[in-house]
Amino acid sequence: MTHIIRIGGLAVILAVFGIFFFILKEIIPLFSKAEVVAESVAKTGTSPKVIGVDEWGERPFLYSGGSEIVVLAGEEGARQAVEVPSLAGVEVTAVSYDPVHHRVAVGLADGRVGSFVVKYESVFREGEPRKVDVSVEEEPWYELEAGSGAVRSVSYGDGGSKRLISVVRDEGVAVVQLAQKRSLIGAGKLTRVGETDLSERIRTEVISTVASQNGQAVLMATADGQVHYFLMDAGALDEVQTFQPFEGKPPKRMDYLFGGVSVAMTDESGQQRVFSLFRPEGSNTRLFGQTKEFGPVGEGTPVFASSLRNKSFLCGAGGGLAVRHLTSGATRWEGTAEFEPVAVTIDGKAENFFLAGAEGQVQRFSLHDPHPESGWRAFFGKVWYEGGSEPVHQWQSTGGSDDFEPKLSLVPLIIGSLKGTFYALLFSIPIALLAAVFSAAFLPPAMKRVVKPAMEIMASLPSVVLGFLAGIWLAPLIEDKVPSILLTCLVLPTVALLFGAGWSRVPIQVRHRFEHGREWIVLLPLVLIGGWLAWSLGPVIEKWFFVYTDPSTGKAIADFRLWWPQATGLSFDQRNSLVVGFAMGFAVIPVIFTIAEDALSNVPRTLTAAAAALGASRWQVVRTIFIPVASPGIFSALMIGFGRAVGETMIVVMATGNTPVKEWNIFSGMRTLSANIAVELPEAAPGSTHYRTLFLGALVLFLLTFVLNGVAEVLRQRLREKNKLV
Amino acid sequence: MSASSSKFSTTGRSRTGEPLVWLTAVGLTIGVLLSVGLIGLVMYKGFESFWPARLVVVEVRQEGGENSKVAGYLVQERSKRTLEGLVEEEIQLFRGNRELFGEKFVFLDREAIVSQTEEEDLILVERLEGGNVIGRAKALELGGSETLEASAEGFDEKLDELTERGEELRDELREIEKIKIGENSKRVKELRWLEKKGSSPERAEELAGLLAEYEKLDGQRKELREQLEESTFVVEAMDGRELKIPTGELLHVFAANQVGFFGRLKETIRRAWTFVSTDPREANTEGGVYPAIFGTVVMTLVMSLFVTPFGVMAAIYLREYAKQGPLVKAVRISVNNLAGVPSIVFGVFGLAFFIYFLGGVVDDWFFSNSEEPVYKSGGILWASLTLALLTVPVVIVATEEALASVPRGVREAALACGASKWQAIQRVVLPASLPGILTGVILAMARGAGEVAPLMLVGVVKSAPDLPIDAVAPFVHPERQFMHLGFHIYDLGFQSPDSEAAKPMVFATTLLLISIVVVMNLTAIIIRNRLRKKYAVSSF
Amino acid sequence: MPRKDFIAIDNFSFSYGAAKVLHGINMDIPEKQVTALIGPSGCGKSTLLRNMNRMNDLIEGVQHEGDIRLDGKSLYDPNVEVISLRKRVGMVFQKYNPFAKTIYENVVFSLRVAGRNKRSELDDVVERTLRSAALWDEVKDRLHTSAFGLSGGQQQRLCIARAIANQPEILLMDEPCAALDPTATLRIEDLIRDLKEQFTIVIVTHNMEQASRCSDLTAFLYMGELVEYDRTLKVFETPKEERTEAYISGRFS
Repeated sequence: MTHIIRIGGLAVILAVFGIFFFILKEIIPLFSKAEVVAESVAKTGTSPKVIGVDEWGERPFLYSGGSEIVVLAGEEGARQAVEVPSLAGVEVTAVSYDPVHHRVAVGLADGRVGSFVVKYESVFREGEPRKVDVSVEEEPWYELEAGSGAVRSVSYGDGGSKRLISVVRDEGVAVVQLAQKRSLIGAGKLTRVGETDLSERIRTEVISTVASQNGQAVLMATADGQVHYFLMDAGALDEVQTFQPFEGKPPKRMDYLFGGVSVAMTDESGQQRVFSLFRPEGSNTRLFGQTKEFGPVGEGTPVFASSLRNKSFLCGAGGGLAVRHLTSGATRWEGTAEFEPVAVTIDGKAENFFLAGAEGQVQRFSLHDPHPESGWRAFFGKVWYEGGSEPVHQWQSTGGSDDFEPKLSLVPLIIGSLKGTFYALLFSIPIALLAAVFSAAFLPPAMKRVVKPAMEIMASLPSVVLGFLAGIWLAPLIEDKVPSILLTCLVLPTVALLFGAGWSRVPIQVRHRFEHGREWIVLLPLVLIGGWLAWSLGPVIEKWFFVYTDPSTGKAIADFRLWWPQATGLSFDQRNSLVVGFAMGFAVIPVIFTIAEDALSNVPRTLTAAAAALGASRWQVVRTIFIPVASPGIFSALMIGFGRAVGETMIVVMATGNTPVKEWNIFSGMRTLSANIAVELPEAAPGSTHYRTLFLGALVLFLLTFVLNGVAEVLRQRLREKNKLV
Repeated sequence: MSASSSKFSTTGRSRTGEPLVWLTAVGLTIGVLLSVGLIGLVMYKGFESFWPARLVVVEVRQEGGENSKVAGYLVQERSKRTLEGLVEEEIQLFRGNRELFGEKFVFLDREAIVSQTEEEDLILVERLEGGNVIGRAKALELGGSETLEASAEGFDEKLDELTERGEELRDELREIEKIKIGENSKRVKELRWLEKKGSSPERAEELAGLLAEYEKLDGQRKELREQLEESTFVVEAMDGRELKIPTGELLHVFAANQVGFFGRLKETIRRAWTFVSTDPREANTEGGVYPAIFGTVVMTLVMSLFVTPFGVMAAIYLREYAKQGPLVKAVRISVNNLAGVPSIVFGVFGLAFFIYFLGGVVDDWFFSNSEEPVYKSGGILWASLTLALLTVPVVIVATEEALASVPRGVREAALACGASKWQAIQRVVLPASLPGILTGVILAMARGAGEVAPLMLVGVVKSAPDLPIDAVAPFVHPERQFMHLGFHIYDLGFQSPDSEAAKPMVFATTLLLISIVVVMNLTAIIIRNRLRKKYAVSSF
Repeated sequence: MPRKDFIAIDNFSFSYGAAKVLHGINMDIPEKQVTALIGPSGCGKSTLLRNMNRMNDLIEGVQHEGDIRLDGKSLYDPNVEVISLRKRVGMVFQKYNPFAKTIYENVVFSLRVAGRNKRSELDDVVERTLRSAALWDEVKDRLHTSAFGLSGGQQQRLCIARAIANQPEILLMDEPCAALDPTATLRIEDLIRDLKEQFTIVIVTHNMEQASRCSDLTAFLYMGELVEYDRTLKVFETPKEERTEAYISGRFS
C-alpha cells in the first residue's frame, strides 16, 4: 500500500506539472527555424533561364530559351522534353516566369512578346501512386507598336480578366493590356485591348520591368536607380510614384511577393529591401514605402522565388541562399549551394524548393517551415504589416483571403488583460481591503461568523453568471447612468467619513451606549439612501458637466455617452471596461477580502493590546499595528486577486465587445489573453501557427499567475512564521 | 503630573481616526450589500421567470385610425434615453402568436396607451412549436366536421383529455423514432460498411429484414403523426384572427386571470418542474434544461471520481511519506499556485493532451475503421478529466490541511500500539480527517460545476441530442458531447437568435446553477466551521 | 502626601459572558507603592489587573458590577474616555511584545499616538525613559535598529520603557517576568523597585519569591475572591487565612 501511495502521489504531482511541459511542447516549434535538407543534384545539360515546378514539387521543368522545356521526373532523374512548337526558329531574348500560373513569358529578338503555360495534371489510377502529367499550352503572340529592337525584359501580370504584359525593348518601353471577357461557359476569349507607350514618360534607360499579379500595375527600374510605379486607372496607365530602392544603383531584381502588395528589391549581394503599398499619413493613394530590409547573402546574380502559401521567399546570390519571411522580417534559414544557381523556384505547398545551375544542374531542397510568421518579434514587437503605414502591435489571426497576413502580436491582448484587471482592481481593492480591515479589527466574532461566509460565498459564484449579469443586465442598465455611477462612487465613502466625523464629535456619554463593531449596520440605511440620492442626482450632474454639442446643429444634449467621445476623442461602448471592472470586481473582492482578512486577523493580539494599552485610539491601532504587521499578507492578497482577474475568462468574453484594442479608455472594451483563447481556440487548426500562438498566450497566463501566486504564497508563509515568533 | 490629568477627558483622543474607522465599515457594508444583492437579484429574476404574470389587454392609440388592442403579459417597463436627448417611456409586452404578429415581443409607447385591462377569459397556451399563444379559447375541431364550442359543456375536460392524449402519442412517437428507428439505422449502416468490404448472404438477408422493419416502423410513425394532427384547438387573438393549434402540439393551457394566488403558485411549481425535467425546445429558448442538468451532474460526478482518490493520494504522499524539506515545500507551494492558474489554461491543456493526444491514440488503437473521430473530439470524459486536473489542487490542499490538523499524539499512539505506518494512516488519521477531505471534495465539485471556460474547449455544446448515459448499448458513452448549465447560460445569453425570448430561461438557469453551487459551498463552509470549532485552541 | 486609596476597588464583580470571574472585590491600592496580586491560575488576578485600564473592553461580551475609582474618579463613568484613562495607566504584558519597529519608535509610540511628534521632545523622552528603564547604556548606540535585535530581558525592559514613556501615574504589570530567565528577572525586579519612586505599581505574579522581594503590599486572590490583602511581610509571614498559608507554602498552585 505504501508503494501505491508513493507512486500514485508522485504520479499525480508529476501529472500536474506535466501541464506546463505539455503546453511548452506545443509552443517550441514556434521558435524553431526552418529545416532545409539538400537532396542530390540532377544534371540536364541545358542552360536554364527559368525553373518552375508543380504544386506537389514532383516535376520541375527548365526552360532555356529554345523551343522545348525539359521536365524532370521525380527521383530517378529521368528527363522528358516537351515541345513548344511556336518557339521553333525564333530567337528568345527575354524570359520571365510566373509561378502562380506556371506561365513563362518570352520576348523575342524581333520585338514580339508571347507566353506559354506549363500544365500540370495529376492523374490518379487505382492501386498506383499519383502521377503528374505535363503538357504545354501556348498563348498568342503580340506585336508591339512602340519602341524598336529586341525585347530585353518582359513580365506578364495575370489578374484573370485583366492582364498586362510589360516590355522593355532595346529602344522604348511599352505595356500591352489584355482583357478576358467573362462568359458562362469556361474562360472567355482573351483580347488585346490596348498598348501604352511609356517611352516618352520615362526619360532614362529602363533596364527591367515587372507586372503585378493583379494585372493592374507595372514597375519599371531605370539605370539611374529609380523605380517608376504605374497603375491602371480607368483604362489608362498613370505614373503614381517614383522611388529609389537602392542609392544610385538599380535593383538587380524586382519581384512581387505572395499577395501582390509587396515588392522585394534585390541587389547583386542579395541584400533586399521590401517595399509595400500603403497609404502614408495624409495621403489617399497607396504608395510604395520601404517596410523591411534584409542583409546580403553572397556575391553574384541574385535569384528569387516567392512562396505561394505565405509571405516566405527564397533569395540567393552567388552561392548564398536564404529563406526569408516578410512579416516577421526574419531570415528563416541560411545556407550555401553546391553550385551557383541561375534560377530558383518553390513548389505550391512551400515544402520544396529547387535550384537550377548554369550547366543545367537541378537540386531539390526539402523545406520544412510550418511557422514562418512566428517569432519573438511577431509576438511581442512592433511589426510593419502589409498595407499598414507604420509598425504596429496588432492581433488579427484570421482573414478572408488566402494571402492574408496573420497578425499575431500578443501585446494588445496582454494590454487588454491588464486593462480589465486594472479596472477590476480599482473597484475591488478599496472595498475588499476596507471590509477586511473592519472585519479583522472591529467586527465582533459572533457577527464575523455570519459576515465572512456571506462575503466568501461571492467567490463561489460561477464567473459565467457574473459575466451574464454584467453583459445582459448591468451593461444596458448603466449605459446612460455613468454620471450616477461616478457620483455614487464619490458619495458613499464621503457619507461614511462625514458620518464618522460627526459621530466622533458626539459626547462620550452618548457614544458609550453604542457597542463597537456595529458601525457597518448603522451605515446600511445610509449607504442605501446615499446611493439612491447619488443615483438620482446623476442626471443633474450630467446637465451641469457633461453636455454634448451637436457640431452640425449646435444643439446641446446632456448625455455622457456623447460627451465622452467629444471631450476625449475616445470611444464609448455599451460593454466597456467599467462594466467588466464591476463584474470582475465581484469575482476578486472575496478573494482579496478572505486572504487579507486572514492576514489581519492573525496579527498577534499581544501587539494590538499593547498598542491599545499605550493609549492608541482604535484607528491608531489599525494604522500602526494591524496594517504594518499584516502588510505582506495584504500584498499577497492583492497579488492573488490580480492573478484571478488576469485569468478570468467568461466575464470578459460576455461583458466586453472582445475587440483587441491597445488603449486604456475605461469606456471601451478589450480582448484579453484568456478570452482570446476561449473565442479562437475551438476554431484553430491543431498544429497551425494560430493554434500554437494561442498556446503561447496560455503559457504567458500560466507563468504570470504561477509566479504571482508563488511570490504571494512565499510572502504569506514568511508572515505566518514571523507572527508565530512574536 | 499636570492638573488637567487629574480629570479624565470626555472628548479626547479616541476620536483620532474615527472617520476612517467608519470608512472601513462602509467597505464591509458595500461588500455585504453587493454579495447579498447579487444573490437576491438572481433569485428574484429567477423566480420571476416562473411566476405567471397576469394577462392584460392594452389599448393603444394609433395615429389616424382606430385604437388597436394588444393582449399579453408585461415583461418590463423602462425609460430609455435616446441619443437625441429624448426620454422614451415604454412597456414591453409579450404578445406571442408568432404566426400572426411576426414578433413575439412588442414595445408600446407609454403615452400612446389608452387603457390597460385584465380580462377574465384570456388564456396562455404553451405548445410544442412556434412559441406561446395568447387569446381566447374558441372551439375544438375534433376530426371530421365535429366542433365543440368553447362555451359548450365539457369543453375544458375535453381539452385536458386531448392534451394528455397528445403527450402519450408524442411519447410513443419518440420511442419509435429515437430508439427503434435509431437502432435499426445504426445496424443498417454497420452492415453496409461491412458489405463494402465483402458481401455474404447472411448479411444481405439481415439487411433486407431490417429494411422491411424500417418500412413498418415508418408506417407507424406516419400514422402517429396523423393522429397528432387529427383535432385542433382554435384560439381567437385580440384582433379577431384565429389560430389553429393541433391538439397533439398542446403542452399546457393556462387561464392566467382566473386563478388566485395559490393557483399561480401551483403554476409556478409546474413551470419550475417542467424547467428541470424536460428537454429544451425552440433553440433552447423554451422548454427545460434537463439535458444540461444531467450533463453538469454527470460531469461533476465523473470528475470527483477522478479527483478524490488522486487528490487524497497526492496529499497523503506529501504530508505523510515525502521527506519534508525544501523540495516538498516547493512542490506544496506550486500545488497551491495551481489553484490560482486560470481555468482556461487547463482547457487549453485538455484540448491538446486529452483530445488531440490521448484521444488520437485511443482512436488509432480501437476505432481505426471509424470515419469520424470518436475520442479525438470533445466529450464528457475529457471534460471531466480536464476539470479533475483543474480541481485537484483544491482537494490536495484541503486534505493536507486536514491531515496536518490531526494531532501528532494520535498518530504516535497508533504507532505505539504496533500499527504500521499505513495502518496508522488508514485507521486513525484518515477517519479523523475525513470531514476535511469531504470539504475539499465538495469545494472541488462546486468549482467544477461552475466552470465554463475550459469546457468550451473540451466538449460542451449548446445542444446535444443524446445524453452521455442512456438506454442504448453500451449505455455509457464517455465520448459524447454534452450540455452544461453554465454553458447554457453563455449560449442563451449571447449566442441565442432570439435573446429577448431567451432572457427568462437564462435567469432561471442562472438561479438553478447558483443554487447548486451555493448549496455545495455552504455545506463545505459549515463542515469547515464545525471542524474549526472541534480543533480550535483558545488563545488570548 | 500619597493617597492611601489611589486606586479604590469597590465591590467589583466581573464576568466573561456567563462565567463570573471576580466576586465583589474591595481593595484600596496606595499611591507610589508596589502592590502584588498573587493567586493560583484562573483566580482572576489578571482580570482584575486588566480592569484597571479597561483592557477587558476589547473582549466581546464582558459585564461588570461595582466600581473602580482612580484618584477618586470612576473608571466606568460614562463620561470617561478610555483612551485618556489609558494615558494615565501604563501596562506591561506577560510576554514581551515590542512592535516591529526600531527601539526608538517603540519608546515614543505612546507620544506619537498622542500627536506629539516634536523631534527634540521625543529625543529627550527616549533618553530619560530608557535611563529609567535601565536600558540606555545598552542600547544608546543602536536606537534606530529593530527592537527584535535585543535579548528577551532587554525587550521586556524596552516594553516597560514604552509603557512609562508618556509619564503615566500607574504601571500595571501582568507577570512581567514569566517569559524570562532568572538573571533577566532579577534585573526587572531591581527596576520595579526603582520605579516605585515615580509610579504606583500593580504587579500580577505567579512567583511568590518575586512578590515578597519587590512588593510593599500583597493581595491573595482565590476563585475570584479577595482572600487576604495586607503588607507583604505580614501576608507571607503571618497569613490570617488558612487558604493563603496553604498557597504560600506551596500546597496548591
